Amino acid sequence: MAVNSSAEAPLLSIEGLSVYYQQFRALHGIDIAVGQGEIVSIIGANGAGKSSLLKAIVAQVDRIEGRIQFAGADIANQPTPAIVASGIALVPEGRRLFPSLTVEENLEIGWQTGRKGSGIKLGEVFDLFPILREKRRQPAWQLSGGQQQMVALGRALLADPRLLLCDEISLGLAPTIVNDLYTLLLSINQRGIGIVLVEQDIRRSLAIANRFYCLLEGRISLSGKPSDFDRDTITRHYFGS
Amino acid sequence: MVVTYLNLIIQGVLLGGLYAIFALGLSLTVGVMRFVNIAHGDFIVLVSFLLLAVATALHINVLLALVLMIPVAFGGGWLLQRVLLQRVIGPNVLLPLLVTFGLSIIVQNGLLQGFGADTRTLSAGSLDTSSLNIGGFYVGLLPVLTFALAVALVVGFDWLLYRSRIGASIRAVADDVAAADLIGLSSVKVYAIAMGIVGVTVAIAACFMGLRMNFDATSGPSRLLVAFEVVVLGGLGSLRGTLLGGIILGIAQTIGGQIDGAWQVLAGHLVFLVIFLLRPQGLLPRY
Amino acid sequence: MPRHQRLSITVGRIVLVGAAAILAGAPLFLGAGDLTVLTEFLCLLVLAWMWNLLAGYADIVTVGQHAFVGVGAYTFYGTVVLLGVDPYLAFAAAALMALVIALPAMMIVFRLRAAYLAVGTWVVAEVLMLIAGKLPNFGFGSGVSLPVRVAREFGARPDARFATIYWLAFALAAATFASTYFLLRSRIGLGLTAMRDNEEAAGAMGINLVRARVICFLWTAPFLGLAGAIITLQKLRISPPASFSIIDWTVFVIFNVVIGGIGSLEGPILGTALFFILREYLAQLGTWHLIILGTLSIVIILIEPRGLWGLLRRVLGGDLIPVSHGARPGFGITRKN
Repeated sequence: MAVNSSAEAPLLSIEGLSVYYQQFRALHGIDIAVGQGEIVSIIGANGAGKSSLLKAIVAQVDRIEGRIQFAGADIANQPTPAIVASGIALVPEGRRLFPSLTVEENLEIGWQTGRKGSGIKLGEVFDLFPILREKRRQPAWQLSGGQQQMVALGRALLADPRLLLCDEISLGLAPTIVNDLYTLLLSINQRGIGIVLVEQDIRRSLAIANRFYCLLEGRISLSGKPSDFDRDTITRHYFGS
Repeated sequence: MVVTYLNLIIQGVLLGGLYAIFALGLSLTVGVMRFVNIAHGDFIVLVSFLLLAVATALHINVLLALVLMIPVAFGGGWLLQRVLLQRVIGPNVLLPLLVTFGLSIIVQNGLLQGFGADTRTLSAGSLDTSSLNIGGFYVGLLPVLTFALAVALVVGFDWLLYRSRIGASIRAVADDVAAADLIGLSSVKVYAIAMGIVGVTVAIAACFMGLRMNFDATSGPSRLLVAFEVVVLGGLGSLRGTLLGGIILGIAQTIGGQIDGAWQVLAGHLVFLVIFLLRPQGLLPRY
Repeated sequence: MPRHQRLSITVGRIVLVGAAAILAGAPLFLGAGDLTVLTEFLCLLVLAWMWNLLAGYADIVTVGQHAFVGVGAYTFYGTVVLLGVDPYLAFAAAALMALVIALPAMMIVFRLRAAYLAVGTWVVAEVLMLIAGKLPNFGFGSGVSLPVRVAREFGARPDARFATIYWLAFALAAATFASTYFLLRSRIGLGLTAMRDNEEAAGAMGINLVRARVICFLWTAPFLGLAGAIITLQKLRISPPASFSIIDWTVFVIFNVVIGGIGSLEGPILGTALFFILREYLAQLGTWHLIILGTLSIVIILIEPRGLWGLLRRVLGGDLIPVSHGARPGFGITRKN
């Protein structure tokens, strides 16, 4: 039931995706689509399968069934480096910077893994996050949570993605910082970069999303435009009552 | 008396240079890929035999054979990682330990089978016996060159790891391999390159070890223990520590060897144990 | 469990018990040559069980257990020949001395983790061997033979001697098996299995993992020392390279356990038995013997890290020697995540 915001083929098309960790099945045959330039929000409680979804897209899970197509190409059987190099960048849950590398080195690695195209350059990332320019030669472990999130986001942007996957980027951060991040996401989106936003914070992520999917125990319980549903309906499908 | 001991210390320091070269490759393996290659010493010995074979067959100086061997050694390390070791790297440390243990035995016995049990040595012509006169002390040219090479390698590695793109990748994977894989930095490729670099250090170590001392098919384990002790003494992850660790071990062995030939190796082990007990994290630990 | 599997397990157990009974009575119908081989087999089995206890259950990989074999050998010689003590008491001394040496050895190597610990045990073994080679009354580097009068204390005639030594080895093997079995079924064993499956959870449950590992490490020492004493009695000689032989008491043992199967009590039996059978055919190949064993080990690790017993067990569907409390004690091999 994917509704595209334009008549073009979707940027990301997922059909019948099941994700397995050993014998445990985290996702049960779900369908998801992300149109060109869309912001799609994935909401759901802990353990609903949100992270598994993102990891499955970049081929970092044990085993999957189903189809994943990106920009018309089948990526379900490709290795992660190839997927990232074709234009999908992940901002991992918990940031996952390389602690002993400097801010600049962390960012450079993002560029290395990406499309190496005409996208955002290092200078622009520093323009977006001036504090990082100051701290460019400091090892990443010395940064605060919010600053690390900036580096993680900057690292993904330097990969020149067409699709940005954000896994719980507001986790553990102060509200003002989260506000800034979300404002940034909007401006990134305006460059034409599609965004998949996995969040536990329903309010913020639905506020900027074009469409959303609600995951419950590995299945889609609700999907559509945020404006089509009231809060109670969404909450019900979030918790599954 | 003082002069004799000063002489011994100088000899020990120079020997330490060679030991540091042994240890560099092992240091990279444990620091990046987080396993101890039990066959490290055996690979050094293997390349020594290969250098001997190549130098003899092509009638060239062993140093030239080394130059030819370096890309081969890089390829060998790369291949070993890609084909075999990559399958066993992971959270379980037992697997790479057992595999490299098996490799160690295979290499030793393969060498026995292929080259026999005789003791060998490498020769670089007049370089073997040339000496320099520094302030009244006669020091061998070869040991001085080896030490200079050790310092150059430490500096070179420092440059490679901290000022090159591949170095940043290597350190990133060493920091958090799962994160690297998540964002598309191929740990498989990085590990293979790192192992290739290790192969190059093994080749260099093989050449200068063979020039300096005798070796035979079963010399591998003693080289491994030296490299291991140097790495642990110096502090894991520290290149300068490796050099320092080598020097200390070299001095300990040289002085011990002066007391009694049979005490040489034991003296090294005992000094290692004592320092290790006093300072388990090593002398110049990075972390 | 399907009926045919229950049947297989029962048959397997009967085979094991039968084999044990035959081994118990071996001197009654076997000659000196065969008895010597079986004595060696039983000693290597003890070594295999001990290495397996550490590597397969306690997560401690050692490459230096030959240290304690040598210590046992030298202590036995020293107490019997130099101190003139009764040989049976000398066995106790060998076990005790191995334990005494294990304490400082443990304090050194337990500061190291995993692979470093393994090489650390190797360094300790080297040091002990080198020290042994410096001991004046023990023949220095070339060693010394056990006087025949000592051997005679175990039997006036060679037949009786071989039988007595064999039964000593059998007693040791039986004691090793029984005590290790009960150790693994005790709270300590349960804790180790829990730790192997999930270290964080085990720690949270309050199982004292450090204590468990310490106990296991020290546990193996006396058994290794006793094995060393019996081996000395059989070979009638001590020397640093032989008594502290890394090839005989560590390399072969590790290969046997890996091939037979780590993390089970049956695996070492299978591996050691296979080793002895193959030795008949492979021994004349010289260096190829070790190359083949090494290659086989690597192949087994790549294919089925639980060894040949792991493969067999899939068919059998259960343990012949049940150590786990219900859940199968998986040897902690994790691939990705």
